[in-house]
Amino acid sequence: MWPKILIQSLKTQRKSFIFWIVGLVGLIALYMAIYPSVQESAQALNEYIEKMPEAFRAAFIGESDYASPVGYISSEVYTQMLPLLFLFYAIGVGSSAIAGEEEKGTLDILLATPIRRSRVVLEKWGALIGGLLFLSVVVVLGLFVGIKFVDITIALDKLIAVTLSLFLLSLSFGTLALLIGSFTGSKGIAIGLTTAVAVLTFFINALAPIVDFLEKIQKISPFYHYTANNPIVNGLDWVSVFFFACISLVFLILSIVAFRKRDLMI
Amino acid sequence: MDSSSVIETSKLTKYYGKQVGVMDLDLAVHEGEVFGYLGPNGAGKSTTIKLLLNFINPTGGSMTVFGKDPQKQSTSILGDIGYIPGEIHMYDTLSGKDHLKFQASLQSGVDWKYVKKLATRLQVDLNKPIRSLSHGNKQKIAIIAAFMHEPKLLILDEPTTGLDPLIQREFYDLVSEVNQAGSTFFISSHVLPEIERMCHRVGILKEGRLMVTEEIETLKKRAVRSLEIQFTKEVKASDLQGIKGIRELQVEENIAHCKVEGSLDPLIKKISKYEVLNLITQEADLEQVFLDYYKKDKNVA
Repeated sequence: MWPKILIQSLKTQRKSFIFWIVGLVGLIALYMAIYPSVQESAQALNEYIEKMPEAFRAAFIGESDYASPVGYISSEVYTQMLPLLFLFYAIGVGSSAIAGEEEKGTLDILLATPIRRSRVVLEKWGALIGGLLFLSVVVVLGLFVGIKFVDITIALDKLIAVTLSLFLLSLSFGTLALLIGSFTGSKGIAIGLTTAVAVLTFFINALAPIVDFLEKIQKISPFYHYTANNPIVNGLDWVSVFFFACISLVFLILSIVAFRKRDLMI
Repeated sequence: MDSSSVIETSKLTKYYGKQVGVMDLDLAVHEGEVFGYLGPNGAGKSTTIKLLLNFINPTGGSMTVFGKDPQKQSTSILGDIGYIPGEIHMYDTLSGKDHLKFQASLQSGVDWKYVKKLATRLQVDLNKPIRSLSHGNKQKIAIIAAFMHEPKLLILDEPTTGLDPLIQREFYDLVSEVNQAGSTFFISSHVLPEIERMCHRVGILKEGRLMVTEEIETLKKRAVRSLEIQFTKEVKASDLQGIKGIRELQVEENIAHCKVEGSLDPLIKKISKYEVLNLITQEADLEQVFLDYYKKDKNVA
């Protein structure tokens, strides 16, 4: 059967997708434009970062190497800008999928029909995947073209690998937002809790190198798996792909279980 | 179980926490009838509808729609139901046409010519975005959505909200035609003349309990009329007391005001002894029946 709800959910985002394209391409262009000047002072920047307190550096800068072109893309674009934007999108869409429609009162349009609740969740999840894939393609294409202007060489397959890792990271958090929304029916709680989990797991991963007990649990953090194997250089780490696939599927199944029999506030 | 019942509930109960939604509801809606579900806001009308549509789960009791359990077989039930929610919320950025196309894609058996016919009949422009429509026009889109797949059962929660009188009349005609073609209706309302106009049978709901289920005609017979009798001469209240069905008697000089339940005959016989100048009565509407029903109940309590 044709996934009408999935298609409809993506259709309603048409306008916002245009802004996402403009925004993402614009930001990539900006990063490319400042690259030459960053490269000139790469030495100084690296030294500056070296001098920062270790805790601060771990938490807010991460592994960065401004001297190498790949390091620049990896740290500036893929560790700072893109995860923030992609998580913003994924958590927004995930929390709107069920809870948003429930709060707006439009859920009855979908449910007063012969369509199963589990299918509504599945198609909404499909729309989340579709939206994230779309943004991922924009990023890959944007960077693939963008780096040509500044003479950075990154193989297309590595660009795809690191973007896929980003996609999986965002999908996990988006699905968590879907789960919390399906369970509570509250978009606010879904956004708030998911964001809290994201911040917490981000710091678990970031501070792991300098805090002993965090090092032990570092691997529960999706952010660890996001950069595991340094995909922009070495390609994807399949254990991490498996990790993302597992948590996303578990969240999805729990979403269906939570939503299937719940009293709806519509 | 009665095979001709489209909706049947038995001791159906829903609590929201400690608050009663509906309580021990025994309801039967027969195939081919237009059933009015009457009660003030918060009486449990929408709760009943949400239970039937499987939006919420009952706390106790049981129900069937088309002989099936909504909790277990909702998908096979919902294809044969048309639903107008009490509060209309739509995807505002879509046009009426796109919205209905989307809704039609979730149902089966929608004839787009019929959609267009309904739109013309209800006088709504399907090309405008929904957010630019007035409340009444949104309601019209919701009406089309409920009727377009020609369902066997229509569950309508306050369906005429926001419609102007002309369109309301058009809507009554539509209900009557579709009913004659064989569809069953379950219509909730607190607008009483509308129920009187559309329905064969009515259930009156109060604080989550079904107080009475009655043919409209029977209710009308039990109806209470307000009367004003003008006599040529001054009369005493005691002269008119003790007449069957009379209450709230007030006499001022030569004019008597009272209410009469059921037949007017005993009163007429009694006042025929006096010279009557004028007798003013109003057609008993359901509103009066309804209010009186509540009042009676309160007096007992």
